[in-house]
Amino acid sequence: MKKHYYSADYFLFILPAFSLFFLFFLIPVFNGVRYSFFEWNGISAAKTFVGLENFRNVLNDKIFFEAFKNTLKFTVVHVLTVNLLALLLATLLTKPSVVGRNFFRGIFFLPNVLSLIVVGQIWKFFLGQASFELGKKIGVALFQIGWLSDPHVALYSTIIASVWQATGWYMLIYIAGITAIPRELYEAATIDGGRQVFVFRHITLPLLIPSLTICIFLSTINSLRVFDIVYAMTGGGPGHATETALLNIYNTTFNSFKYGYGTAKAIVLLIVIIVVSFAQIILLKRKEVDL
Amino acid sequence: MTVEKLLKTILLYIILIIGVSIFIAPFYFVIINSLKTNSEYLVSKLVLPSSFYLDNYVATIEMMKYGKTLLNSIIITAFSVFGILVIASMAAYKIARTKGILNTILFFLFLSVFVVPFQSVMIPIVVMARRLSLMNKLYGMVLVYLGLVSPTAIFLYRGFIQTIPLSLEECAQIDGASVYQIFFRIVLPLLKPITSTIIILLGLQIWNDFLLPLLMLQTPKNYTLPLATMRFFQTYNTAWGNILAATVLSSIPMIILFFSAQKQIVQGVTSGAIKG
Repeated sequence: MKKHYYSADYFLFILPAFSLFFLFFLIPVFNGVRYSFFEWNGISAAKTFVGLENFRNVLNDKIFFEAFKNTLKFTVVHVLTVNLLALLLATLLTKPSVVGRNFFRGIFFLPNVLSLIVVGQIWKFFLGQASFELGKKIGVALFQIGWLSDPHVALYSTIIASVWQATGWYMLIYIAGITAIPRELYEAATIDGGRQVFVFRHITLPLLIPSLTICIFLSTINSLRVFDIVYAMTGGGPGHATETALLNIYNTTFNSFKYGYGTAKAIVLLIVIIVVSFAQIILLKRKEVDL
Repeated sequence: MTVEKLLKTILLYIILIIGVSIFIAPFYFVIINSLKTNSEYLVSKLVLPSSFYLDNYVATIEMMKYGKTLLNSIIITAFSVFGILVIASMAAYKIARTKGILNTILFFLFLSVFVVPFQSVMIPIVVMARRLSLMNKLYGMVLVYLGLVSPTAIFLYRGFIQTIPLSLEECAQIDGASVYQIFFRIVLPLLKPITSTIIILLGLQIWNDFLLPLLMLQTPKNYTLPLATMRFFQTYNTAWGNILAATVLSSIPMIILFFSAQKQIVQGVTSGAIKG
């Protein structure tokens, strides 16, 4: 058993997973790069080699640029809100004095088991149909704005829906992080007369940096490729006000049949995602060492 | 001191209850309005329905072919998850127990799936599926999921297998057990805890996936639940009674599952997220 060699059964065990992975991931990655140099409608056998023209067009595509800006705006607001909210809930729901913690945790996590299509539709109904009447009844003007029809507001409506859906997931990761902190540390701090804010700042937060790293990283990646929720709520409208990068790529490829151009955009998005994730990992890892 | 503590606890509960109410409000409004007649709906979206009007549900079940779509989702999710468990545990076993350059390269190739999101390879994947005549077929979806989602399971399995001491396998080998016997009789049963985590994580992901079915399934008889729900919304975009009924119907399976296995799901998500 100590001898590790590549015998026939090594390949037999790996082959099923690897062959499908090869077929549906590795070849597509390779092809994706290839298609981006061609002009192709996705159906005909004829592809025209156009060199870097697709990429040149991507850089001059005003709508794609807008979509990219929307995606970044979505990402920044979503990541901040979701993590603050999740951290707050996790802090409250790990207090030993709270009875029925599991019930509360369950409720906050519940939206997570729904498909994003359904989540988008729930909020489309709530913000587009019920909120106006609710605002009139309780006299809050905020409820009466055009959540989905006002181009300046619509993107934030999709963020509300996605925050509602995602918070519970990150809350669980933070709860696990907080639970892993040794109780003695808190006891020591309380004896020293530390106020709650002080305890949070100097004990909970530093020890939570690993959880924070995971949550910020995951929420960023997920926001950069947001699709379902926007597709269900606004379809990218009004105008292009809520069109995200991925929605734009989808429309370019499957509605306008520009496969080469669409893959070029997808590669630009991929590069951005890779750069952002590596930058984040490096920055946050450095923070971990500092503390 | 105790009064202060009591006040703090009360404040905490008030915050939590407000939080819970805000979280549940959208559900609440969807459910009450799905039980209204159209005229009731038009009068007010806030008041409770005068009676339980179930016609929206009856009609919607028929219109979105609820039974068939539900079955499609179950088939795709069950076969994909089961297939992934089999091929990923096998691959992860060898990857965890072998040393060598080729093995390391293979592992990192599998890991590259985390860096390259599905969305940036979706176009060539569709082209590939079309070339292999897998479009609009349930088993086509399953095969693509096997290829794309297995790496996550391989990653989790590999980490887990590395924590299992080798001695058990060595003993079995001395007793003359074959590689296959060792894997299926000894290693596989030990993988139970991580297997339930994987089932929950990947099951949720595949069940709720929208983009791949949207790209691959073209005829309504093959639609999965999220896709059928979305198509229903697009077709009947002003029939709110039916839309809300469809929303509820589409959520019910997962909500039931969640409440019957809340502990396992919460545990699965937590341990999966931290290892991943």
